Amino acid sequence: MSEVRLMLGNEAIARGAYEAGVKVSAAYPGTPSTEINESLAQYREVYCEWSSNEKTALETAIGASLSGVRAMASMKQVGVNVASDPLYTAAYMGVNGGLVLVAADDPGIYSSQNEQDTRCIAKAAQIPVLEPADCCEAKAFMKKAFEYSEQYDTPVILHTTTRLSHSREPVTEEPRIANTEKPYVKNAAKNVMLPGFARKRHIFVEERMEQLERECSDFDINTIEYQDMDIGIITGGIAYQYVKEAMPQASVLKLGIVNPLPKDLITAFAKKVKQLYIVEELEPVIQEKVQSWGIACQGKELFTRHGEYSVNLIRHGILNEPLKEAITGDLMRRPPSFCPGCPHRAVFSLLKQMNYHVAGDIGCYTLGALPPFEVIDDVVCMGAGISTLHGMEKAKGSAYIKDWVAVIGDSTFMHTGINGLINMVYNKGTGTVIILDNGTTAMTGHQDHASSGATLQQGEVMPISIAKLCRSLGILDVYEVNAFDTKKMKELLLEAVPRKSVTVIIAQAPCVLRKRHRE
Amino acid sequence: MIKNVIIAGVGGQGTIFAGKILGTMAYQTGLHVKISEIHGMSQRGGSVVTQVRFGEHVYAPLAQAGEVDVLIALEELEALRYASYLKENGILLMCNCRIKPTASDGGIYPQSIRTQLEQKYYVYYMEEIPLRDKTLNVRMVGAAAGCLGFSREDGIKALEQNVAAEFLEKDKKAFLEGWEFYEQTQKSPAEWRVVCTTN
Repeated sequence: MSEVRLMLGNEAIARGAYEAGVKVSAAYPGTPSTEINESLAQYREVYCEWSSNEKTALETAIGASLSGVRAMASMKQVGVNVASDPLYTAAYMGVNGGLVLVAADDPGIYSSQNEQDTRCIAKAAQIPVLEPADCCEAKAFMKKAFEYSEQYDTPVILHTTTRLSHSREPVTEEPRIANTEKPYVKNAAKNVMLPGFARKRHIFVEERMEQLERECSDFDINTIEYQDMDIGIITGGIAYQYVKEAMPQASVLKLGIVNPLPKDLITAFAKKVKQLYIVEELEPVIQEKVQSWGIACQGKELFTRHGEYSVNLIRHGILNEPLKEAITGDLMRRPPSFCPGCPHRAVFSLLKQMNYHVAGDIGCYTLGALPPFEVIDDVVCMGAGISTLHGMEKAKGSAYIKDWVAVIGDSTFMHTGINGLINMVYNKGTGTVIILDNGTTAMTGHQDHASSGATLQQGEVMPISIAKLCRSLGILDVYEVNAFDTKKMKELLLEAVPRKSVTVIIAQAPCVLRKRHRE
Repeated sequence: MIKNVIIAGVGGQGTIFAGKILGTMAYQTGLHVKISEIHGMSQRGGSVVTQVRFGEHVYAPLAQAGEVDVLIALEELEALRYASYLKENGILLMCNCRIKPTASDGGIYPQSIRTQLEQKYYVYYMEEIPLRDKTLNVRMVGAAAGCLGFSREDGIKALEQNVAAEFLEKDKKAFLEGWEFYEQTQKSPAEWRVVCTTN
């Protein structure tokens, strides 16, 4: 009855959540996290949605937890920034039904705008973090995360990375826990974070983390393999795999929980080994804490704070072996580019021809910064294009931005772009915003969103009209135009950009990849 | 003993699927397997590489340069890009597929890829495969399966588990053609263009 399947790390996380009895899962797509919610959506016992952004996703999960069911949100590392407002306070409130946030980091920056380490946020927010090292653990730790969440009355973060999320391994399926639901109990002192209540909850949070620090030394998700006592390595997550292959004889303490750190366990391990190394990707979260206890160890002196780790890198760091890197010389690269027939091509060709500057945003269209177009001037984060154009205008005057436009996709506009537009209208900005409306979240693999007309599990829905939404802000000049009609678009731009008020041009044409799939 | 395979190609050529088939074969024969995939930019003409590692227990999902037993290159430039991952006496499976990058970084597509590779590696050419063949990935997996000691039945079983009914027969046929290609090269190497030179 238990079936073994070759599961993607993200599928294993979804399976773990399913088996843990999760009832509600909310997410906004983002590489490398997207497949978690997509995979979970196949289980009809679980309500899954694409939320409008990571903040609404986490808040949805918090509400579901409050009501008494097990709930989760999943997102990429930069999505955690968007969700961090509710996250920090959810730590104070604790949970009713178990609450888990899956955060997928991207060491090596395969598909992100930065390389931040979620463990740093978790530390600041005082939220426990579990770190699986392979797909089987991804499933098992997800179940543990729900258990700890309820046991310690805290949200728990399951921390994964691109390499784990996008690795496949045989994983054994187990049955779903039938009933995990709890009754709802009104409790303002716990769930209304007024200053008077929050002060008390902060004390609870401190005590909870201290209790966890004491007790997590006994958690079975931490394991010790004593071998050669000359070299001891503390590691966790995917880095454990590199350690085992690079240093098969070393003694290894593999941490399943990395916030808080199991102090007793680490201290005992450190005492037994001669040389202690800490191997962790990105920030020295474990190392700094261990050193703060007066334990001598080496870590970031030997290994990088950036990029992905590898077997070679560890042998290089500890054994001083030369780095055996693949030799590709100055081979012609294959930079990603717009698909043949992509409507974004038409718009960027025109913008280049008209010599405009572009305040850009996050999506396929970020490629407009690369050859042959090279028209995008800045890209910060989801929704920032409209606001950065606004800031440019306020700094240098409205005449200065008369050869500028902001460009943003439909999904990104619904995510956080709308906030920038509200701000621009309210503060008497005069910018021109082009919304590239291809009807889908294309970059992450064609997920639906609030203005695409469908949901993840609930079938079709009336799409929120971007044009009507913009008009409702009081913007008089809102145009809908075929993205390939560059003649019309050029006329509109020549008219709109010099105008002393906000203009929105919605360039419509379906994503060519999606069109092909549907045909 | 861990066996390492790299499948290199261009977005849309089916390297992820090829990896899944090889991985399924490995675990169905009782081995532990880890497959590492690159998602994200793959649909936009980028270089796509999938790694499959199998054996008694696999730790790291990625093999290091100089450790790879078989490199399946679905495209010539990608063959050159990943060739240095091959170990001494490693096998390079190639076909006559050249795809110019959709976006250029100013570089030029190298002319003498085959000569360069033949000087260093065992190269097997699967020339009969027509360009843009949708089953190219499965055919080459078939040949690789032969190299790696899997049987025809292992492949058929893996396909049955991963392929929708409507495409199954086509994929089975492609796999068997690939597998037989490898068998032929073993029986009568002279008939095929197999280049063996010192590493």
